[in-house]
Amino acid sequence: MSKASENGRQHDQDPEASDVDEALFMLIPWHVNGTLSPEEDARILAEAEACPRFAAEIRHQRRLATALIEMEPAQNAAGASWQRLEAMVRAEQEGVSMQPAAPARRRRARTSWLPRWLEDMRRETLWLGGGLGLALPVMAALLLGGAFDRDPVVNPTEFITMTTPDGGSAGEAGAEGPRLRLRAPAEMPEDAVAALVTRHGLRVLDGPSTGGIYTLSAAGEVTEQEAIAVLERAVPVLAAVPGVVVVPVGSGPE
Amino acid sequence: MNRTLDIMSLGSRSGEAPEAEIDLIRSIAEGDLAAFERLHQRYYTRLMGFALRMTQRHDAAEEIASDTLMAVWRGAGNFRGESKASTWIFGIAYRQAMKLLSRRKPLDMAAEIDEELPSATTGEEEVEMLFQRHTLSNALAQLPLEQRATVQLTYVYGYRLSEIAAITGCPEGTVKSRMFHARNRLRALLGGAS
Repeated sequence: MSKASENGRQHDQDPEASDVDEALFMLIPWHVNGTLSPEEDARILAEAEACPRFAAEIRHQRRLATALIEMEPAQNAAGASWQRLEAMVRAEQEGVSMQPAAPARRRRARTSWLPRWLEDMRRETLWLGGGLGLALPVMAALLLGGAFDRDPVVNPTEFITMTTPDGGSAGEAGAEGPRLRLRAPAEMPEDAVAALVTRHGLRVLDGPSTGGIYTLSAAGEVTEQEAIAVLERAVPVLAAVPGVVVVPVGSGPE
Repeated sequence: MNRTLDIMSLGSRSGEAPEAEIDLIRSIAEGDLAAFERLHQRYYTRLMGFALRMTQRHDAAEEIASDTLMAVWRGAGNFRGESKASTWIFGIAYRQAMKLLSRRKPLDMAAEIDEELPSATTGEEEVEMLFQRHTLSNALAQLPLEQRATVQLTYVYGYRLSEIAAITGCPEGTVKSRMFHARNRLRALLGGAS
């Protein structure tokens, strides 16, 4: 029994502990989690046997550890997390960086005649979030922007995919499946866009608009999320889908 | 106590020996996406739990977990195996959490963890348990970040003292000191309930 224990000292409240005793007391958490060496464990147990207060502290910490483990919050979104990560990895492999659920901005040359404050507001609308709830404002902004940004500075490999909350856009709801909007770079020929989307089970219904926006249809039972995922995996895209914003390399948040 | 939530103790459901994490990291370094998915399966829940207790916010926790795993994907080739893979990964998560928390305004980090609340049909014992958890959760949230992380890494994730020192980038003496002060603070906050 240590000298301190013989004196009945309160291990947990007395900072003036002897070297041996204090060292042992400080190791109790790792005795509780089972990671001490057998020798250290033996010393802890011997001290606990000799000193009721030391033993009580061990019981105390065991209860605390159990309570902490039991209250660990359950996480059920691992599947969604993996989808995002996989999309990010694939985007990186194809030369596009991607940021999960974070605001991001594309850098582009100032080509609009809009007042800067109004242009800023329009741009902010693009980056305030990644949810489907933003898809409509994003789409509207880009459609409007099509009239303003006659010469958008875009990477030739950059696309923007959008969808409407109901899987279609106003007046376009059809029986062919969800509608997607894709903004292709101005330099990309229409037949190249058509070939690209056809290869991935999509079809061009309309476009390009003056802003370079195509309306696509996903065939059959494919959901809008599946269609977006297909497109994301196929090409480097800048997408507005729930929880995900993709930006071209070098165009991270400012 | 067993290392209840320790990642290394997780085996495959088929009863096969768990894939060595060093091999997993090597495969990831070679660009093996399937290996990365297996690593994600092993770590995501734990990284989320750790980050959630650190930040008190789901969005911030998700950001930390995702950033950590992406850092593993990008940096697997730099892992030399001098520590356990889990120590390396949690070290990344710890730094990500500290970085995120240092740049966010306190208002942005207002706690939002949804603790389960008792309903009219909840039994008496369960109500008591839920209130105890709520009290403990609040007390934990009042600890300084470094102490909170030390408590979590020790009691919940079962790391060795030396591993926590490696994860948090400080001497073992500092880890012991943080744990000592955390215990005293929890005792003060919880009274007899601790």
